[in-house]
Amino acid sequence: MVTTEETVEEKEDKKQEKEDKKQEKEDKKPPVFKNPEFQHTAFRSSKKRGWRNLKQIISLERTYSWPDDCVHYSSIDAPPAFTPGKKYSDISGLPANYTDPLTKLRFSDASEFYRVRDLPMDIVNGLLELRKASSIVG
Amino acid sequence: MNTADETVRLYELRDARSVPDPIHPYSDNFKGVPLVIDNGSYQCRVGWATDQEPRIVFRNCYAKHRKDRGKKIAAETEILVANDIGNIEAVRFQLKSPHDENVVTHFEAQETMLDYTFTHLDINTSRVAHPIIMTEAFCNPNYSRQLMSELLFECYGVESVSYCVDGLLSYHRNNPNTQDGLLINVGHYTTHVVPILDGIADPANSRRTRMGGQHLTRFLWRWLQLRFPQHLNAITLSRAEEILHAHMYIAEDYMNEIVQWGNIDYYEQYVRRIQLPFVAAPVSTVSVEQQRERRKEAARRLVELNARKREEKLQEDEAELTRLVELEEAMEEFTPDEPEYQHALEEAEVPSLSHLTKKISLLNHKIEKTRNKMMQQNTTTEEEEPKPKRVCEAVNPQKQADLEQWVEEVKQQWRDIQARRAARRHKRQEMAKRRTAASQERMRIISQLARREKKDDNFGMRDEDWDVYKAINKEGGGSDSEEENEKLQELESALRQHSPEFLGDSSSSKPTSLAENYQIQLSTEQIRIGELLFQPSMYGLEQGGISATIQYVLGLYDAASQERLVANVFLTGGPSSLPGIKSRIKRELLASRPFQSHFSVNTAKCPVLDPWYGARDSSEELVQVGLTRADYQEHGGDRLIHHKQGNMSWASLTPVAIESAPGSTVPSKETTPAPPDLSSAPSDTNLPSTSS
Repeated sequence: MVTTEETVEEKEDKKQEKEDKKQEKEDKKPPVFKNPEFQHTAFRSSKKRGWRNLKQIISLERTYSWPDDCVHYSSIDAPPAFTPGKKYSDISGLPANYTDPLTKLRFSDASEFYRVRDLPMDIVNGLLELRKASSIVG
Repeated sequence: MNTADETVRLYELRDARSVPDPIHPYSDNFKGVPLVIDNGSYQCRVGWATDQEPRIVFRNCYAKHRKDRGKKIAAETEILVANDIGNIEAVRFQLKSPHDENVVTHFEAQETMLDYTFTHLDINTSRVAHPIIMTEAFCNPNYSRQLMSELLFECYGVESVSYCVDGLLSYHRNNPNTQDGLLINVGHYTTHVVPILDGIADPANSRRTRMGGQHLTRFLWRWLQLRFPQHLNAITLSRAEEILHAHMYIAEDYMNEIVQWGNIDYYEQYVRRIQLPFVAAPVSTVSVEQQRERRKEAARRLVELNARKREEKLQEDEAELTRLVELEEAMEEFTPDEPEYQHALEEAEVPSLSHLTKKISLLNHKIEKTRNKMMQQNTTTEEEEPKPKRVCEAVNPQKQADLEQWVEEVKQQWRDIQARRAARRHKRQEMAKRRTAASQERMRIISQLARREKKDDNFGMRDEDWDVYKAINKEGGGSDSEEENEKLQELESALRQHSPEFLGDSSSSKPTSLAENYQIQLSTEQIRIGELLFQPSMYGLEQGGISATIQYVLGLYDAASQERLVANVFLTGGPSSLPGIKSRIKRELLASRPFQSHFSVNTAKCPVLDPWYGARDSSEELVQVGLTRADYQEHGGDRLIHHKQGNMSWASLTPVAIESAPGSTVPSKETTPAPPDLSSAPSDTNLPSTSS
């Protein structure tokens, strides 16, 4: 008798666990205010390309013809600066008149030059990266 | 005085964590009330049109967090949304945002964010039966707007949606009566300069630069990491953001101020120190005295224990002795033939009487010895202190007399190491250049190595052969090795002790406390970061800064319109709360405007929340011009009625087949807002709306 009672209890426990799990699943169900059948039309899962990023959206926009007076996202991009940018030291921010030919870092005086030369490569690259000057072409 | 000043300028970091949002109960009172969502790329602010303040303000991002990584069972992914993320740095690399720059592009992420929003507003009906007022980017692409409408109408079944532009909302809230003005909206990713004439924004003459608060934070973060590489991990993006908010300002005259920072006195006066959190090294609380006490105590206890043991042994031995002596005395009474005699021998465990006497004498001797020892112990209980260990023999003088000579030797060793280092550094620099003797020698060796024929090649037989690779190493063969560094430190510490003047300044500038090791100093950074807005070239951006763009936009108008625009230059957006930005723009305008012309610069009352307030205040009018469900079903999701706070929209001239436009596939209102089979609609045709 005792054993059967135990098994019954165990069964009940298991049932409860199952119910708990069910509840959990229900919790994970989409909230009531959502349409359960909704699917995004623009998600390109078949091509495994996901969502269009801003660049792709802009180029997509360009492929259509538009009225003459139309203003696009891309058409309000500000023009490049008309004056050359001022140069500042890469290690102190002070105005820099010199550039180290070896590391391409800018520095403002002799003491900074020695500091520039003592910098390890990763810091040098990081500093160049900071003003987007690390590319080999530029 | 000096110390007091320093404590004043030492700043702690708060490291604020986001607090999970409560679920605001939903009631019938809200029926039909418009919901205002300022959907910014940094923060999203949501509230009912009847609210005084936005109910929920959260970072517009979520993190997919894998709970049990490495386990074999399919890892459960936990989605942490917005303010549920306690520590944003822990999930920094998993963060996802619906925005790409300032435009919503990732609509699955947008869905997650809207789920979060509506869940926290406790909406319990089968659809979100409310008009929605939502902000979007200035000149938002139709494609993005279309998808947003699709999401709102078809997934959530909203009543209507009104799109407006955050900057324009802020402008009209702060300038209800001024019809003309130049709006400068500094956002998280972008900065807009929008001319407004007769209350209507002119998109054709507006300009946008890709510079915003996000860039400032990133720049500061990376810069501090490079400036203080030892604190690489302690400097996080959120801390950079906090520092940006607390310590950065915009210089009115940047060139003048930055030059002043070169002056050491100015630096000392204005530098700000930030204390990074640190864990103090486990310093034992016991003093040297206490330690000595404890050691003594332990030694004493050990001695006592030994003494007790010895005493026990002694007692045992004595008992044994008396027994043996008794036996011996008894044996003397008997002859060896008698059984008692044999019995006694057995008891004493000896073969004969002579052995017994020997044993007794041995035992006697032993007892004597133990007693002697105990006597000695009692007289010299006070043990002498163990001699302190010598840390390093090499750098301590053997005798006082040799000190001077020894110091000289240490100095020489130090100089040698420094010279070796300098030589290596020099060689490394030489190697990096092309036309130097060092690099030409290197090339010669390389070509020689390459030319070596295979046949009688016994390269590598001798260990020295391999040194050639050290010689051609670009690093100049061997870097400053660990061992050498340790030696150098040892020498320096010795020198500091015995001839402090030798090392000069380097020893005096050493930080005195552990906390000081964890401080970062803000000098030029204080003005340099904000300056990015005015000189984006510092960030490697080709576009002009705010003032250049203002000038460019003004140049698109005739003189009379220019006058109207500059009469009210209006600043809004998060980063426009940087101190000094107003006076800076005034200064720039003064420089660029004609002599004795008038202009004024104003800032928003609350640069961050004003778009939301503005949308709430004019929610009635906005709902009137919104896109209703019927409109959406008729025309698609990108059709806009132009109003002063919103974008203008243009329909593409490219004809698009009506069947493929998603708007046309939407069923009528009565059914659940589910299109039966939307996925079949080709996605590429979503962008242009059907032209009328």
